[in-house]
Amino acid sequence: MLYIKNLNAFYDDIQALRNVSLHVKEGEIVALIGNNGAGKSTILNCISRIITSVNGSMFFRDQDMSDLKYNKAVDLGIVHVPEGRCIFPDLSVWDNLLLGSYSKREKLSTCKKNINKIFEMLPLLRKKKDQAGGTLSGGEQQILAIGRGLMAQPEIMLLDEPSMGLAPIFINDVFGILKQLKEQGKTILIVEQNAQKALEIADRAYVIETGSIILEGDTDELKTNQEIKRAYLGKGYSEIWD
Amino acid sequence: MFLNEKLETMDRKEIEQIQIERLQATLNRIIKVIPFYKDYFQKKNISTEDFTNIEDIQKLPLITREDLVRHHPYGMFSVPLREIVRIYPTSVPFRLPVVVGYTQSDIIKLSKLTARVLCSVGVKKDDVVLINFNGNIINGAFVVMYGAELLGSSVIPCFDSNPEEIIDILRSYRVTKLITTPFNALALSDVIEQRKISPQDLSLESIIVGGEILPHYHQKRIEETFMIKVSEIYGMEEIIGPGVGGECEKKCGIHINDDHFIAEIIDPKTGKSLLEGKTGELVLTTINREGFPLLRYRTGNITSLIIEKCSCGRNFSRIQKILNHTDERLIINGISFLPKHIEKILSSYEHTTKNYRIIIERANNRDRMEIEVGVTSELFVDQIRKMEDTKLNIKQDITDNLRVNASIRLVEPKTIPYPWKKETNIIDKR
Repeated sequence: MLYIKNLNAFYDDIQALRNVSLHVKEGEIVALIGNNGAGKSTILNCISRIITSVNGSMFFRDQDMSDLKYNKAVDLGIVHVPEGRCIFPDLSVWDNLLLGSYSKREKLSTCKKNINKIFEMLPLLRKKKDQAGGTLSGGEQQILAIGRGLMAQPEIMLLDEPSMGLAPIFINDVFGILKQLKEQGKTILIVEQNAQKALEIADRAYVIETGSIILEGDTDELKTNQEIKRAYLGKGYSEIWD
Repeated sequence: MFLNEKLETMDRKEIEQIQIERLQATLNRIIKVIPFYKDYFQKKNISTEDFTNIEDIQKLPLITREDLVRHHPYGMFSVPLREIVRIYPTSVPFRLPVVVGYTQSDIIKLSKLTARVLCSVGVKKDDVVLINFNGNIINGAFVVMYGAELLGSSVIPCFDSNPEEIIDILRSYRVTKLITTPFNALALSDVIEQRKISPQDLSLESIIVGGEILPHYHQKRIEETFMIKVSEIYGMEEIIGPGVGGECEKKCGIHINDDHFIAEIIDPKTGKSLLEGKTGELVLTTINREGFPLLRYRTGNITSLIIEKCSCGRNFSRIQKILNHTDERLIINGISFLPKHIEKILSSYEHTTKNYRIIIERANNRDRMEIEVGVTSELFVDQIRKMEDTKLNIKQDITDNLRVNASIRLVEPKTIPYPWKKETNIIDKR
């Protein structure tokens, strides 16, 4: 579905990505894991065409994305749920969701139907539909951001750090939703510092280090990798190399 | 049959994408930790960013077994030893061992890959599988066992049983698939014939062989004796054992698992890459190996590469049946060795000279080897008993060291051409 080859990205003179090649197949959940500043979010920003000073090849459903504007990327079905949620705090949950379908230019009645579908999947949002987005907790805001992303009927969803800043209980809620999406066959590319969680739901993962991919594989294989355990899976593994 | 049809039938575009991704990731990893590559990249003034497509692999040096020996034991490992869960020294007679290391993740991968290969040659969950490997390919036996168990087959490992015992087990346990070496399969054929066992008394559906070269005439003999098909699986101890590839039901070459290996064919003399379809030496690159990645490893096997889609649905590249090696290796009933190894054995005897000749014939679809050994006149004038002992000892030494049988004839040195040349001192009548 998404094929990226030799992607190099730059922030002014600084090269953030070096020869990154990756792919995502339809119905797959693929995780990008790595330390802060490794280039994970940059990859998502390149795919959704927020960053355009790139070279390399990117194809989405056989369409060359080289000269694509970000709004056209949304039209293709590439939906980016950014880090930090970026919901509209003063708008209600309902309006936030409605704005998610802006790019589809559909009739209001269709939008309403779609919102109801989102409510079925994410019942919490129905309960809070009239509440202003800014008054939701962090976890609820993340769920709203995912719901808003789904309103754009994505072919592929790019999820940037969905667990960031959330209490553990909400992290479980968010990943529970991602599990549901996986069961529905949705295609997701997820960037996540919580590697443990990401590897639990993803089919495959790429490990990125200082702008380059150093490892790729099925998650069951990667989970046994000592370096990943040490670097990304948290406590208890520090003694391995130290 | 497929283990994962979607994965095994992916198109070339997808395969090539995976290959470049994994090659780049492998290079990004090893350049930091393997001094051999670090130095090479520095010397050639290249970086990992110079590898943007599969053809760029040619910028890497070809690796031989001798290179691995030079970095013995752990010089080519790409992870610290504490991450290695299995260390396997691969030994070849008269050659220094090479040490192969596997991480836990490598073990999972090789089990999956072997399961895939076994599935492609027809092994299934309901099968009773007898695995009969021995000697220096015992690691392959374990790998095959993991693969077959992953498929859910009922596995009977028989690593050191003799052919008589194997035949009894085949019969009593109603074994449906036999996985063994060509040499063992030939030995089993002998037992079947000697004991006049009807193949119908066995439940065997097919025989799968690997680990050694299987010439057509040996394959024919095994197939005729057992009245079933023989399929081949391919691998190398230095790579991951038998998970590199296997035949499919269409039997039109051995499919290489392209998502884990990049196969190339080179001219063995110049090292230059050859085009698809040309015969040359197979070079393999592991692209998904953590502990012991091998880049552009010269297998010594002569074959050619086919990239077109197979009628089984796979787009994985195929290699033609391997019938030759790049060196002067001789293959007798599935066992390969170098003539210089015979020379080494002969040189340890008191009255032998450097003159020797190897005569190989085929009878009843088996290879027979006779070695004419030049001995000094002292031995001829000595007791007959001493001559007989020398013959017997040489014969035993050859069997012990090279696992091949040979009849020995002691001759006067002048009757054998000298100095030794392959053309004049090996008479292959097969």
